[in-house]
Amino acid sequence: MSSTQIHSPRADISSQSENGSKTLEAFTNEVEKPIASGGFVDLNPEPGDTRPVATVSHAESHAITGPMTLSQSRRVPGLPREIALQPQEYELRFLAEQLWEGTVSTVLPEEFTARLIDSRSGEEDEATLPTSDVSEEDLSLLAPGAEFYFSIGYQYSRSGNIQRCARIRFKRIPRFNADEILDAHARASARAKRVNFE
Amino acid sequence: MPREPKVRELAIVVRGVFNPLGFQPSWFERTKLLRPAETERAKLKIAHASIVDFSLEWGGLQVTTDRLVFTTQDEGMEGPALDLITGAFRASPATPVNALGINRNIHFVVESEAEWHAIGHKLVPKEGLWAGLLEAPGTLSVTVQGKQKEGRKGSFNIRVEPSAKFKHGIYIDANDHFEIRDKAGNNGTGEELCDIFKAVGKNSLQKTKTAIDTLMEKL
Repeated sequence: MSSTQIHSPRADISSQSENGSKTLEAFTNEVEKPIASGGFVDLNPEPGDTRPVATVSHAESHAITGPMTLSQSRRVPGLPREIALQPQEYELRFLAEQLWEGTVSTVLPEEFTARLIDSRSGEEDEATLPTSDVSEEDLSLLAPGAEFYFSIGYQYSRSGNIQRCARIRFKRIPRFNADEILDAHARASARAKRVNFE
Repeated sequence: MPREPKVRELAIVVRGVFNPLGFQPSWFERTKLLRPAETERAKLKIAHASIVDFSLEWGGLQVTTDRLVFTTQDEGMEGPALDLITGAFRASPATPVNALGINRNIHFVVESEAEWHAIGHKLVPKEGLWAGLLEAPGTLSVTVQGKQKEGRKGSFNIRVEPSAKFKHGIYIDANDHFEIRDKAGNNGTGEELCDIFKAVGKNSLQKTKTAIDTLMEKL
């Protein structure tokens, strides 16, 4: 199954110019007259407005992998009907002013040095950061070679608080150690013997 | 005045064959993909054979039998979000998967109703064509699709609609879509998904951001 392709109407009109119909430029000039309505369908009609409300919902997506936040009206097979699924509510939003990815170089008792790469510009830099800025649960990950995200920006809470802050978060991706790999091989061998392929 | 979005969201979507009950907060703690305190504070909305849905302070995960969606509005946690989903499938490499979508969407508001309508007309001119066919036509949704580069299977889709959240608002969604099926249409695996994440994940975060910011500025 593939996404549905929708052709832009502007492209279709410009391709008709050879047949003598309006060129895109002429069409654009006409449209630039002030137009009071008819641009978009108003999905937030005023009370008393009897225009039909659009059925498009941001909870639905035309694409297979578009965001599909489950709306209250969506039913999941097997799910009890009375359970209504709520749209995602966030405790925190964060708008980043600056974003880096870092790699720890050295670790000292109260600070560590790291190589930083600006996530937006790609510029590299060296920095010394206080260990006190690392969360207690990430301290065990603080070691030379460890990778982390460093961001500075504004944090917005649902209660309306806005706070400027800097955050460090160490990367967590499972890495299998040698013992785990050997164990997996052993289990696979045992399973193969049980199946006894000839 | 430069336009700024009212809402920014990132959504990572994986399609495949899943056991939702295998994606509860406790599993993410056991695999150390989340901090213990995060999983303790996670709000588990539902754990059912058909769906698991829980939220963290910085994002939320919903898993059904054929779709996994992780969303966040925390710009500083987009990299960790990618790591979280990569890690989940690295820990379950045999999981059948068939598509990945890295999605970014925004809502932004313009200064006047006239400006709002002008954008709708810019996207889909009404005079001459639509005005002759429909009574009071208005733009409901526009989607444009591009191809993936480097021969990858999939597409890059951008959708623009009036915002359902804000008056005189506009919603833009960029969907970076990757197919993971083979030529015969069979599912790929979690391991292949991780390879795709490694190859295109960071680039996709930047690509979707650039597309949306550019469009917001030019509309």
